[in-house]
Amino acid sequence: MSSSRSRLAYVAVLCVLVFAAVEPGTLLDVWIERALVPSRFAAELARPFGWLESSSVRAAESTLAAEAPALAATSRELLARQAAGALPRDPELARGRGAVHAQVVERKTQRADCVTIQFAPEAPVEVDAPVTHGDHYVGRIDALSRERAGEATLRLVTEKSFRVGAEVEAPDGRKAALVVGGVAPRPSHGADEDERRASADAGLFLAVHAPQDRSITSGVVRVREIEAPGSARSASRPSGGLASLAGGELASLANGFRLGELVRYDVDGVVIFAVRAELDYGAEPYELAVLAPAEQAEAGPPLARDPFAVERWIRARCAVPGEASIGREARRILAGTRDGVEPGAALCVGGQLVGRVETSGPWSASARLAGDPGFRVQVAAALAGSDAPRALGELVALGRDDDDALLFVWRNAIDPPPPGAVAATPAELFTAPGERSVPAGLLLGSTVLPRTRGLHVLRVTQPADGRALGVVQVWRAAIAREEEPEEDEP
Amino acid sequence: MSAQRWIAWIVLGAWLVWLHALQAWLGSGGSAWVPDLALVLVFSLVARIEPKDAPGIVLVAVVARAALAVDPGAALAAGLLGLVLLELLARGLFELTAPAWRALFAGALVFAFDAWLAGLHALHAGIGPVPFVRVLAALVPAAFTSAIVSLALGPALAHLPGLSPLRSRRW
Repeated sequence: MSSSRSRLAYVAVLCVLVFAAVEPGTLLDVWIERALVPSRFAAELARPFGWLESSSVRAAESTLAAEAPALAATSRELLARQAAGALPRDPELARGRGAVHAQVVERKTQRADCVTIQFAPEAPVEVDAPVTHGDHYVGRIDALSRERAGEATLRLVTEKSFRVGAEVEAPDGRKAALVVGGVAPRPSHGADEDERRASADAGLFLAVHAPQDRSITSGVVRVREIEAPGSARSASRPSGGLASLAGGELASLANGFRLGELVRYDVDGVVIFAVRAELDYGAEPYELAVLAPAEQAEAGPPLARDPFAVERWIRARCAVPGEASIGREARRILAGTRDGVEPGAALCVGGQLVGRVETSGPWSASARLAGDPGFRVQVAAALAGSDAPRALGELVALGRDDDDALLFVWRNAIDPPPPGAVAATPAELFTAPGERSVPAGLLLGSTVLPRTRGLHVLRVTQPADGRALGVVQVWRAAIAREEEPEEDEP
Repeated sequence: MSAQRWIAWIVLGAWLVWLHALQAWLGSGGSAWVPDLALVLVFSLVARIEPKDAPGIVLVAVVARAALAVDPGAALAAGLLGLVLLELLARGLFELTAPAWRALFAGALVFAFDAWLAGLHALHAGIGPVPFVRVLAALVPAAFTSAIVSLALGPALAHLPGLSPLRSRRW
């Protein structure tokens, strides 16, 4: 082949490779990654460097070992407070029922009304069990996962074919039965911009079906499932619709939980009844209680996913204890999908979050550490002087400052806009529920939290520098059914 | 291909892995002033090889780098192939084995390679322009120290044990 032809061939190959690099996930990209899988064994050549532990590694390991018990205690306390938010506050609702703590771990964009929840694998959760948050009804268990222990699909009350028996109590004391389920159309808005905005801000309305008394137009709507005489708990899932009203013992556990306020409004000239929901089912809550008969479940919920349960962590060695990619904070981990390492899984050392798995191959995985620009994680804050932890949403890493503190972008959408001076509160940041691959309760670090609405850069300091560590723990997103532990945490 | 050359390719892979691991170990404290030793070896060697060996160098360098780094294989392959081709072109115009040129080119190409990977990472991670500029600025110390290493150790790296079958007398 002539020189000019070979140059042309090189340039053509280069163009193809550039395309594969810019557009990940293409067939070519997949082939290249597969072809490089055996390179994991070349990493063994670097093993002697793992023996050369630097003083910073020893310092980080001893710091984390010393602080681990205190950190575990703080984390468990925080999780217990979060989990307690899922329990009913009304003593009447707490009586005669058991509650199993569960956390939402996945919201599917294509099936927004079905979410995946996780709970302790040994918990007595059954199909059709009602699910609640505080005093509010959320939905019912649709199916238990066949592959993963302690995991189920929850069908929200907003799902189109969902039906739950309910009762409205009017301000004058009158009561009437109705059926609730699915989402009702929003009230009609006028041509006026303000009316349109008011309609959009009105919140979520649940659809009302077959109201018994149309003269009642307002009042609190609570679940009132009909107990069919002689009905036994069914092992099979009802097909939906009114069949679920005869769900029996399990369904009646939800009686008394709130659905919202009954309202009547106009939709394109037609007057309809609806229930103004008191929860934003699309975005919250993450902490839930699955109801069970009192004799089966404890009155207080155990932790759905204990971040300190030994069986949930995989010990993995880093190929080299340092930056293998200049400009990044990332590691090649010598464990892969064959060991249970899944993309997105949390990396932790001694209860401190140090990073997350980015991609995972059969024998190795790439992980980005918390200081890697673009690293993302859902976070909750334990505020100084406040009992209740506060969900902050997603933090996105910018890197590190000159003092090696982590920098994160955070959008505060909760606090009021700044009236003048910026208030701030010291806070400990922990991982929040809502992600399958990251357990809640891992320490991210300490920061000072601005208490004003807007975009902020948080400066987070960690007890130990995760960059120095050569061995990490990787979170197992789920325990396969055959591995289901028979006893509690070792 | 002779057995000697086969062994030389394998030895090159081992040297690249070790140098890569060494630079990672040196940077474990978070220092930005760590040279890209493996890349300096590649550049030193490419300045002395026959053009037909260029794909082999790229292949071995990609495998060695993929063993330890987290960057996608396609990004590594594209970056290394691009830089090797650029160097093959440049060595016809400049004396890349001379101290000043080799230091200059090593520094510039290390920066270009790391910037390529950082740019891809920023693109895929959705990093804004301000953090990306910070990342680019952080690459300068590594490029500078790589240039110094190339100046001081470039010929020595190209003459590491086991690599002589890959070097050409013409260059």
